[in-house]
Amino acid sequence: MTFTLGEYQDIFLEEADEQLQELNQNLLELEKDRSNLDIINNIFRAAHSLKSSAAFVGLNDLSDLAHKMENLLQGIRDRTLDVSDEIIEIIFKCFDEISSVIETVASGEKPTQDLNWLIQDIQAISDKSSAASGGKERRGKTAAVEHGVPKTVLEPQDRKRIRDALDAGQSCTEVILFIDESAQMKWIKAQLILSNIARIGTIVKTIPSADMLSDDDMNNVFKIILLTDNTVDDIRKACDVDQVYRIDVRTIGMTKKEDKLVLTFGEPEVFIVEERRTAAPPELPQELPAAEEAAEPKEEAIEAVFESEEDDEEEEKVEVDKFISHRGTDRTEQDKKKLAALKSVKVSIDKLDLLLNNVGELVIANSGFYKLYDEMRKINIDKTVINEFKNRMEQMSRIAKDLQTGIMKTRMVQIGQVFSRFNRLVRDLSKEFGKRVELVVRGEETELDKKVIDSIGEPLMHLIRNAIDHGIEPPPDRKRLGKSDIAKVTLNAYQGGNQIIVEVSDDGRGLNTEMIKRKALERGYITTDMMSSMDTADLYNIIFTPGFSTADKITDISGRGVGMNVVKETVSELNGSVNIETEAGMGTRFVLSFPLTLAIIPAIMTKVSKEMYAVPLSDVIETIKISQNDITTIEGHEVINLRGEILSLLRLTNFVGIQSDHDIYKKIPVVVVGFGNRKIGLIVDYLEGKQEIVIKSLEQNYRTVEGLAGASILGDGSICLILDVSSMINKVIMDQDKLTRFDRAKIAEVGESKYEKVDEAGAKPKETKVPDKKEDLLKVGDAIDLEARSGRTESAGTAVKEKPLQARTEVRPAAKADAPATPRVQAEPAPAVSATKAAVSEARRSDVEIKKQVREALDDFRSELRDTVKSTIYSGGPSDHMISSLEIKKEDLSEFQVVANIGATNAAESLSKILDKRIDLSIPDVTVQPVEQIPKYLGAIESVYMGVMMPVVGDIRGTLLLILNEDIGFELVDTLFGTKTREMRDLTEDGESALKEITNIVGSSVINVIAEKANTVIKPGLPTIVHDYMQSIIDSILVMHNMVNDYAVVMDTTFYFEGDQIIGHLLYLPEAESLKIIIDKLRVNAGAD
Amino acid sequence: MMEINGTGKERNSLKQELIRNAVNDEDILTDVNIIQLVSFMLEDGEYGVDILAVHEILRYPEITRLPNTPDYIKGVINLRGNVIPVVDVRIQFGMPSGEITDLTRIIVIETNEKLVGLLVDSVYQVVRLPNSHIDPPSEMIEGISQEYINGIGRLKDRLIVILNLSNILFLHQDDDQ
Repeated sequence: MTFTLGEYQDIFLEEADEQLQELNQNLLELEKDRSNLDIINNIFRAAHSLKSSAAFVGLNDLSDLAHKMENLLQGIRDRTLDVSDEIIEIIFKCFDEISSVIETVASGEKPTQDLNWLIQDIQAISDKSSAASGGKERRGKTAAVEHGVPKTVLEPQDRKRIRDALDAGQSCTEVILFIDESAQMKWIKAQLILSNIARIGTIVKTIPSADMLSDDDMNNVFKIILLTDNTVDDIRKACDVDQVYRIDVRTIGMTKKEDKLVLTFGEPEVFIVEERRTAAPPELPQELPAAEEAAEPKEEAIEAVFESEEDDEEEEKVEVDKFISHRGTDRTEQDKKKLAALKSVKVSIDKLDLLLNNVGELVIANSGFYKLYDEMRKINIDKTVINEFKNRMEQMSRIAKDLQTGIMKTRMVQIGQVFSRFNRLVRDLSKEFGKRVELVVRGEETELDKKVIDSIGEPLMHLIRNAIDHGIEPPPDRKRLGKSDIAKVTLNAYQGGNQIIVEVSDDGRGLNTEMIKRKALERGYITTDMMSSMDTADLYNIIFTPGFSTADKITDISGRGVGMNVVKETVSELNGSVNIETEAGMGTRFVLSFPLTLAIIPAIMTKVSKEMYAVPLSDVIETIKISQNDITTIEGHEVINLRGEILSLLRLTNFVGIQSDHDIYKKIPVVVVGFGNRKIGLIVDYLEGKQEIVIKSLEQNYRTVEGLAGASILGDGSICLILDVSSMINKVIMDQDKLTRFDRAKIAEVGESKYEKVDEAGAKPKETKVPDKKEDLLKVGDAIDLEARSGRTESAGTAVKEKPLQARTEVRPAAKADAPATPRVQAEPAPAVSATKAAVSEARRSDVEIKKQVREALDDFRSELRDTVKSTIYSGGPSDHMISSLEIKKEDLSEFQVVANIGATNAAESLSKILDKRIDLSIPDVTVQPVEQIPKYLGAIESVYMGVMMPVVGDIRGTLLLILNEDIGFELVDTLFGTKTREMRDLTEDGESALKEITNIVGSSVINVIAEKANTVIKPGLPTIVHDYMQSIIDSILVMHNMVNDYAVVMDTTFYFEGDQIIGHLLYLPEAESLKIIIDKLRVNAGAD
Repeated sequence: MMEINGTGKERNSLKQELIRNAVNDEDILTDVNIIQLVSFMLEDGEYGVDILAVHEILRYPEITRLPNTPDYIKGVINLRGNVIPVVDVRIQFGMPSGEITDLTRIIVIETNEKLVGLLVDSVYQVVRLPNSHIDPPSEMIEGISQEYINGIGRLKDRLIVILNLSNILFLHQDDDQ
């Protein structure tokens, strides 16, 4: 059973939340501006409202506390108390306790917090202050007295007695007596009163018990519950004993509530009998009853409810003057508030969801009309009627869509209210750590979905804590570093595209990557092998691992490694993502991005057999098409090698338990999906395009189903299930974890072995698929055709074969001379090779012998090439200044040259496959060039080129650059598309993507060779196109890599069409540091061989 | 939940219609301890669910299969924007699955604040049954697990198996996972 405060709980919680925020805000201001009476008034009002509403729902302890706060504030307001640090601190504490009680209630549990210590603390402060200020004893006493009022607890037999007596026509009265604290022998007074009262009625109970009342050190306040026929006045007289300064009398009645008889307590009549009452503040009679009601346990809570009901205007949930009933004062201000408040209406989020749901239905139902319209057009009806129908239909759909966006907007809430909560946190934390931190808040008016707003608080809190604890340096350090000693933590929110971005940034020391690495290794989250393949983003992501912490000691704030994990989890739950940007010594920025709305998400629609499944676009990395041959099976697990990366495959048909009806001879569509840093390829039967879908939960009427994130209703009313990518990935990972180490090693070999077998594979008549491929490539858009890499034609390879012999002599002088334009070598296809090629291009008819011949020729070529190149390099290096400037030796470059040769060959083969033409190439020229000379080195400075740059990331960084003469670029696009862009001289989007695609494929073949030979992990990045003068293209690269060296290592090769026409240059520019890595690795590997 | 969709009215009219039919059939109308059942057929047996739990009755709609769920979950349907599961009661009760005919119906019931569709061979009628005519479940019912049954109603020569709705969908949830 969960604890609840009854039907008013929700209203109470909602209001309490507002009051707490107001309180918090004002407290922070008060700390800065202590003399501002307005702020004190605001705090007072909030405390007062809180007091009433807590009493209203029966949270009496809370109400008590609020009341004490109010008293304290009253003192400040009356200028009898000064705002001291102590007072601010205690009010903050009160605020914390109140929040914690309210949180407990909100979570459905019974609050058990003990508030007495706080009440006593407040008491101590007000006592002290009043003592200090003198003449205020009275107030202190009043408070003390109130505090001493014991609670009325009635045993069942007592209750029965009261009930019986009431039934018999007697009246029941509760008398509270206050004896002057300074009075001697209070117990005698008590006994005296008791005997007096016994004469006029029957005593049911005394509180504390009669035994206690005869004790010498009894309290100065006690209660008597008696049954009597006498009047209140008689009772008062009976109690009027010397040194009793106050007598409260109230009647106890009986009402029927929910079949149960409940005792109710009437309004007390207060008699101040002691002469000092004249000094009592005028509000005393008003304030005390409230306090007492609040102090009573359950039965009386009911009374509080009933009493307050008359002035309860809250039922409609319309925000009318929420409890700011500041009796009699501030009337005008209250009215003003009322007016402003009436302009907005509070609506529960459920109602909005419901509306949104219905509007969604409306939109879907409306799409039915379109179908009807199509039907109508087929039948022979009056055209004007049809047109009218169409107009109306469109009008309706417009209205429905407006309605939908409108409702969606009502769910949006400004983030400012979340941000403002953190002022306090930052204040507390900065005090605790002895750091001076200022919280800068921007973009408060940015609106987010209510659901995001509700859950974003916690992750932000963790990020802020982290920033202050770990990020920001202590003030002395900051001073030494020349930073302002007040550190800044910035919260920012803004909209970018269809994402809402929320940033938490600090100007501290930045993430310590070394520390992360060390800790991650220590704790065994990663291995050294894994580390070598991690880029910085991967590294930063380690901090989100549960249990990960760089803190050496655990404080109560941080160090347990929970916070960052919470951040990641919460953000993922909201379909968002976290990125980290950090700069050593400059600070760290956490960027959280969320979809604009959670209700509607874009998704990729896929189909297996006849069933439609949606994959949320946020989980999709890319879609590709592969052929059956690309799939390798290891221990029953299907994997492919995607650009050098082993990608596990999951057949959706297996996952959902259905037979595939996909034609096995066709290309297989694969949706590459990622979750966290894991990704898998999801094999589907068909891709059906992108669509916006509304998520509906399955739990609402059923339960969570493994692998499904929910369902969505499509335009035709049918249901489409939404896949839960994270659970699918987990399944695959779990399966894989079952594999032995040995198996995994085997998986890792796949790429390599495949590569070694390429010659063989190439010899197979794969060429039949070449025409297909071109279509696929263009159709699938950003899809990467794996086959372009794995399946090779002999055409290019064989063309290269003849080159070394001629090239050897020519290359050397060119390199030595370091001429701006290196003479390029073109291999002339030898007759034998042409024959082979002819045979290959007619692959269907090719016989075994030719294949064998080709293979032999290729093998010969390989070894010959290697020898040739080696001798070339050893006998005279290309550039001499490299030793001094880059510390790269000539011999080092020779290794690189070998790799470059193979890479370039592969690239040519890929290119020839794409263009379905024979491609020749020059021997790659590995040189060290002064940066400013590169444009000149490559070609005519005045001509316009198209440069497609593909960043190479991973262990070895650099850029791959395909430079095409403008004309050739257009020609390539035209060849592929059959368009006429060449005449228009305008590179269209399609053209751009085609060129990027070519670069992607060609570049990947080079990168794969390097990755394989150097045994490292490198990946191609997304290509970008620069269509400009050569200088600009090169500049772009330099800017991209932030190159500081004067020299760069350039690997340059030139491709030619059959007719000796130059296609373009392929350059690989590794970063200087990376080049060293490549060379080191190559040496190691060569040694291993 | 259901009132929200404006189906309260529909439901009432449905009920009234069913009651009207039932009135002709039955002579017991006055007893205070009467329960009303919507009765339906599975194979040759007659079964009943409390009419108060019945949300509406549908013809056989398009059902979307739900993977990774027990076989008695036929799939999900779109009920005016609500995605609700459909239980093939035959399979749930261990009978062979039936053919879909013109008489096949889905009884949408509300249990544990969830809407669930029950796929049945046909809906028969509304039965008014005095409590005194209901026996506790016995071993008599072959093949059907006791936990699905609330009792057995006797009505002249008919026996109506009264279903325990809360167990229909959720009883074996833990076993399935």
